[in-house]
Amino acid sequence: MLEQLNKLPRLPSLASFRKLSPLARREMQHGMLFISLWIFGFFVFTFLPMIATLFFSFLNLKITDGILSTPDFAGLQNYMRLLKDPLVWSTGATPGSFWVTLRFGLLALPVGIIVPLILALLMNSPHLKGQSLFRTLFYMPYIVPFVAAIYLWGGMLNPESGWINRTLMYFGMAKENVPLWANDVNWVYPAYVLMGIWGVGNAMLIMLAGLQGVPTELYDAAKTDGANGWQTFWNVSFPMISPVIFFNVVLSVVGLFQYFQVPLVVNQGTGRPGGHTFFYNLYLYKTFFTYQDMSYGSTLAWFLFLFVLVVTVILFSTAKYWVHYSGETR
Amino acid sequence: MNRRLVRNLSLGLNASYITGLSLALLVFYLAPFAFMVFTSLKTSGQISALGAPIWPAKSANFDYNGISAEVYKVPVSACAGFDANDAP
Repeated sequence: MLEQLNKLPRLPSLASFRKLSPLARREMQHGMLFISLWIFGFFVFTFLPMIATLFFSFLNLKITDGILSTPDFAGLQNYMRLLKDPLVWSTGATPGSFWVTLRFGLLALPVGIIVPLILALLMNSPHLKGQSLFRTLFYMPYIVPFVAAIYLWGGMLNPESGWINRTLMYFGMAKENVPLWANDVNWVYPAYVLMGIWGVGNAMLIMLAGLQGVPTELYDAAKTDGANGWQTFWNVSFPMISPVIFFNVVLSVVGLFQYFQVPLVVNQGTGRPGGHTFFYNLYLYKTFFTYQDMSYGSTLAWFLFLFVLVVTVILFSTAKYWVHYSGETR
Repeated sequence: MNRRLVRNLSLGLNASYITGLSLALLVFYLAPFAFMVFTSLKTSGQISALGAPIWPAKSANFDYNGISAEVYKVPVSACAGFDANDAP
């Protein structure tokens, strides 16, 4: 990762800035002017709040104590509390929010990568008639507002009147055996995954773009060598689009640790059934806005940030074993 | 000529298989849109009624002495004391 960072273009120093031609200097000034608004916004609305939360995590700051009250310095107390918090770490019948998030992630991550990949392969097939229409239709659910889509799936997965259960009953499943989806400990994660599958249109398009960038000579060479469909996919397509898959994996991992809206809307953020939908980010949100404990909420947020950072760094370190960058020597 | 026919047949079969599979997936994938449209056309009574059809429909009514009454299905064969051999 450091190598990639080193390859990024760097801002010129003042001395090299003076060496630029007047035209290049003017271009740079215009460029700086255009990005300055974004940099200002990032600094004020992202960077400063982040630093503020780091500061809060070492205090005992609660909104309920009043805005004018002086918060106490708590040192590492909030971090010690986090390490022992059963709502984060419990492994009993009511699992902690960290394990809930991790368990759901282990199910949702492979599905969230494999389904768009399969769809992209289908959409890229030369045998598919009406490719443009299919691509548009598979992408269409992505443009439905997220909360509307969650409510819609709530209706689809309704145990009594939802179409999924009615289809299962139509095919002979007894009424008492149909899943209760969002109200059943065993079915709530598959229900959430189903809702997630509906929004894979964007990932499908990214993977499709990757597949279309694979040089056709490679397929011709594989065909000449007598490779079958699977061998062509595994030895040509997959390595060539592995940077795209890697990009999607990183985004999905970050997104999964921020999983929040679906349990908040479908199960009203209560964690039911049996605490299995009490995701880490839901706990963080409740700590901030329901319990108004800014310090502990900030601690939870910083732990999440550091954990996701570590996972991302680990992912980047595995990239050299399976991600193939064409024309790049390692 | 024969080889060309086989090749065309094979291409046609592949196209039918891939397009058919995509179509089947699409039907499942877009079913929530149909659910959304059908739900928007249903009355609130039908939405909350158990066993109502999935498409928009009115409940069956029967006019009796000028009064419109809802029709209920009674599973007679499941009732206690039912005997199929009884004379009607």
